[in-house]
Amino acid sequence: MDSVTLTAPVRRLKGFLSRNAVVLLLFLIVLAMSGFGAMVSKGFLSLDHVGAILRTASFLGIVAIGQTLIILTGGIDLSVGPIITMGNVFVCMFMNGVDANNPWSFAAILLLGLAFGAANGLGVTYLRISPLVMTLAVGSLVTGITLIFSHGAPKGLASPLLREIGVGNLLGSVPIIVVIWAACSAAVILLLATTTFGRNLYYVGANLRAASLSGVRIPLVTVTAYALSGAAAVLAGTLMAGYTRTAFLGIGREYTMWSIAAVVIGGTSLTGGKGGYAGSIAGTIVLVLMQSILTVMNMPEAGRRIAEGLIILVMITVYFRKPRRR
Amino acid sequence: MTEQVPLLELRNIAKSFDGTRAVNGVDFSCLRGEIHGLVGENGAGKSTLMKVAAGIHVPESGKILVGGRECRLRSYLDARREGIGVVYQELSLLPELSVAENIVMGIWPRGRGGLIDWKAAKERSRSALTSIGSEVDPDTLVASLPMAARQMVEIAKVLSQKPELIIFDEPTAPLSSDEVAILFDIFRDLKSRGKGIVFISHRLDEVLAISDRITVMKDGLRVVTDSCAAFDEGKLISSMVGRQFSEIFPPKGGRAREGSPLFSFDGVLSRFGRRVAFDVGRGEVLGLGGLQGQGQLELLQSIFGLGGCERQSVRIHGASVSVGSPIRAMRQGIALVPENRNEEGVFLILSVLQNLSACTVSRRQRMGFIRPRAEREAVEEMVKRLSIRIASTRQTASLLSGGNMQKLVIGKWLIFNPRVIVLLEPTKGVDVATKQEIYRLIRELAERNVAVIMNTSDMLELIGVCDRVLIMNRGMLTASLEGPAITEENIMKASVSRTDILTAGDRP
Amino acid sequence: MTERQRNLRLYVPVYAISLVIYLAACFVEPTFFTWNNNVNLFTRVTPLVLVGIAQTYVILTGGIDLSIGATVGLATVIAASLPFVDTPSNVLLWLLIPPSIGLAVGLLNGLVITRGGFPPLIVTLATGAVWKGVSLFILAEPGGSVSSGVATFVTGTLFGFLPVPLVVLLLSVLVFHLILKRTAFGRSIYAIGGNERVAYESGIPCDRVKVWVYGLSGLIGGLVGMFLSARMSSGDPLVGEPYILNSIAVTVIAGTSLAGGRGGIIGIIGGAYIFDLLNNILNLLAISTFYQYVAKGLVLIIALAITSGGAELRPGRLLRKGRRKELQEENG
Repeated sequence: MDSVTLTAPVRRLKGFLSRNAVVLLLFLIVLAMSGFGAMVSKGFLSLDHVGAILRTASFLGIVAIGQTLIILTGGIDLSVGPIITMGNVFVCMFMNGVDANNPWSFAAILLLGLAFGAANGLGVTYLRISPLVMTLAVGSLVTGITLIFSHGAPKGLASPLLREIGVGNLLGSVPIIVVIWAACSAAVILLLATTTFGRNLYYVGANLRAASLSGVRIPLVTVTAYALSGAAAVLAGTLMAGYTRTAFLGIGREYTMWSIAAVVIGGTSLTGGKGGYAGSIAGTIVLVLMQSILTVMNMPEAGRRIAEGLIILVMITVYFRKPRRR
Repeated sequence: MTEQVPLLELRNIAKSFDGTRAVNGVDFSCLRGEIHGLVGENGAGKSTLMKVAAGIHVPESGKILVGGRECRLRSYLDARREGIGVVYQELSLLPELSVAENIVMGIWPRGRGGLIDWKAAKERSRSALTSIGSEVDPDTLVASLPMAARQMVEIAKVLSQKPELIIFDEPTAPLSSDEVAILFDIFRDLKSRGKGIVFISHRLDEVLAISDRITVMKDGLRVVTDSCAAFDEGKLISSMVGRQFSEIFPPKGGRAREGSPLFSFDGVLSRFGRRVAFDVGRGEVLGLGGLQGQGQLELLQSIFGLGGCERQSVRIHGASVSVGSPIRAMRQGIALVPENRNEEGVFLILSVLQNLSACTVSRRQRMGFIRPRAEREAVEEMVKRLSIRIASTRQTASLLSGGNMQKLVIGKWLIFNPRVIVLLEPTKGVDVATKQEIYRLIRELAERNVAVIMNTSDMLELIGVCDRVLIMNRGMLTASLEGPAITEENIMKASVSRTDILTAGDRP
Repeated sequence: MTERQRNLRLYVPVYAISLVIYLAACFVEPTFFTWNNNVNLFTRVTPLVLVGIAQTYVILTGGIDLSIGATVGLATVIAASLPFVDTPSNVLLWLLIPPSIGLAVGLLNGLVITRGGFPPLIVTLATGAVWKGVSLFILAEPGGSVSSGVATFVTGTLFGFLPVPLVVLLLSVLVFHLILKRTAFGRSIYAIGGNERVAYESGIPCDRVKVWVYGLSGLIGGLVGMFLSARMSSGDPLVGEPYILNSIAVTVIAGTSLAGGRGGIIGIIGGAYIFDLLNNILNLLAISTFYQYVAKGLVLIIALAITSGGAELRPGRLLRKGRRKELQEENG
């Protein structure tokens, strides 16, 4: 291949394509799946149904924001599930169905998410505990706290405002939740691409020692990343409360593993330093689409889980092949 | 001259990677009882050639003959069976396991019931270690051994597989001159036992000291093979590089240290409990030498806030500064180029741009946002200034050669624009051409009144680059050599001296 | 330092902590120190110890097994779906089939991971989901039954006073420790976890060892499921869920590094004890089960802070001295 004959714009296009191959591939898969879904069920691509799919994707997508940040630093966050549940349960308790409680409820719940997230970060940085186990422990703590304060039976209701956010639409058919997700997505992508904090995340994930020897404030970056993950999780839990009106224990349980799957399928490397949120968006949509297709196919729960597991396996074969030793 | 069948003969070997010819029709041979030195710039093909001999790479053409018999080496196992062993630069030891276990890895001695007999394993390792004069206890965890001892274990491991030919790839890089002497004793012992040794190294003085024959490679071709006596360092370098020897080191600073010192240090080394104090003057490149492990690393790291000294007082341009941590040291304008670039200096999976930007991201920000144009300009300028050969700044750092990677590390600190720069082994694993460029840079920095302090185990480099050399032994400063006094002999004498020049009075 | 010194440094803290907790329990409730109660403890702790052993083997190779919970659940479900009338052939079926299924599941994991070169975290995550689905398919709710003879045996005693679970516990720890320390298979595990390239170049068949390690993990999962089905006298597809993360916690408390290549199973009994003892104490103090989650979380953090911090042993590399917070070894 003679580079002389390739003009500059073509070369730039090739560069763009190869760098973002994963995300582009995923969007192709999304298209394929949507097509398949449309074949299986007539109303699949209707505005309403797409809106519903996107709303579900928003919950996962918001959680995936935090998970993406953490995995970029080379860590992992197993506490998102419990923190989602905590957000869900506590926000209903705080609000008690009354709009007057809104300001301090939102503030308090955000604070809780940030605090427990920060706890993760502090343990990882200062106690030198591996993120896998630290977030596991904090998750257990959070589960206990949620159970204790709700006495095992969540009470309370989402406020009317939250309810409106949860089920309402903008411009007729765009769920407000999706708009919120879109705004958050833009913010995260901007954060990673253009801010020093975002750049520092990559440094920490790529080579922790070199980062500390280059003047990166490791504790600050780490604790902030984990705190943001906690905040994202409570946000998701709060929005879910808006959607379902009451709280449910265990509402967040599946999201831990799903958020990891979404991030990994999106191309972010588990060892850190490589990837980004755009891929996680695509990964989220793929996973939610998959669930949706299985639902309209009326798969019983058992079959659904099997299919989901298999599909994840198939997807990782697409671009996870490690070079075989020669 | 008697016609001897070579232990190993490579005829007309060719090997390409992705379309580039790494080795292009090279002949090479090593005789029994011979130490054959192999030199060449990075990318000359010497490692690739030896990996062909070790069975790691299969050549596209050419023949491999062991003891006159043609062989096909499809894997490292084949090579090992033919009696070819390799001691790599990145040691193949598992730090979390004991010395004994590392030595018997894969060939564990079995006892009753097929279970591993650890007592026998310890015995086997102990004899392997003593045969090379090492007294390391087989029960020790490799992780707690210093580099030189680890290398002994590696050699014992390779030797316990009873090879006839042993290839050593850059074995002396982490060793002090004392330890190199021990290694060379091992070479001579192996040679007397009729083994063949191939010694790949960038340290030309050492190659000249120990080899029987030397082969020079350049750009995938064999340039010349001759007996060691036919070479001197100048001839070696000009064969490797096509340039004259005298051009390797730039001229030193002519000025005497005029005016007040740029940098002053005074502290007590924690490990030794001894006080060290020195100044760095304007336009001066200060070197820190002596045998390895005498406190040089602790001293220099302490300047960057990594601990190692107590009650330290640091002055830059006369003003006292506090350097309790790397971030605080950086705030005072102190930079550190670490010893192991792969682990501590370069972000391998990130781009060239991100690497060069690493120390200064916060400088080019506006309210938390990076200013992309400013960053791009700073990086592109540095790439040009350092002549880093890349296709684009978006390229991943891991694709660069060792020399270019070192330029990334130095470059990110140059962008930082330090007042003081500490360099630890700045040309470790770097080819001759890049070494030259780095020396030029160091001289430039000194001339711009940056306090330059470097530590290197390469004696020639110490002599050739530094205006003044401080020698340390057992945590004390034993000599401060200046100008013509910087000779190999004086350095060696000071390295073993027990006199602390600080007690004598003058602050060096 | 020598290997022995390093090992002591890992195991002593764990047992010290569990001893402290045990004594605290006895202090709070003197009847804690009865034979009956201790038997009870061993019975409860055995499954956790076993899955901890399984997870340790996998983590030592640098991998992880998130499907072990599903394997346990699947095994209980299959065991409870077998014919349950008390005949010798049925007992044999109960003894052989669940572990074999577990072994098959594990081997499959291993093959996918080695042939495809995929990250074990994702693979076992996905296969766990698949097998959980299969279990739910067979038994949507806990149910089925197990022969009463088997149930009595498993919860009973040998020779009149040795509780079966205790025997199983001690035998397993002994056997699996021996395998790790004195067999080529065991040492290969450490080598692979330490540096796979080096292991490969020492002639170790890395892929084969890894496949069998995952197979072993599945096998143990099957055994635990078999054991649990007898104790519960039924099958429950979700009974294994807590074991996924608990097995990892116990492994790490016992001193095994998540990066692989370092650790062992000697500390696992101590680690499992710490977990279970706490729950026990809380029960004795009649504290609501909700607090157990909090307790588990806190104890895990404390235990890890102590053992993680002490597991660092690279004195030679100076760039680390005095700056602990700057440098972390383990990165999840």
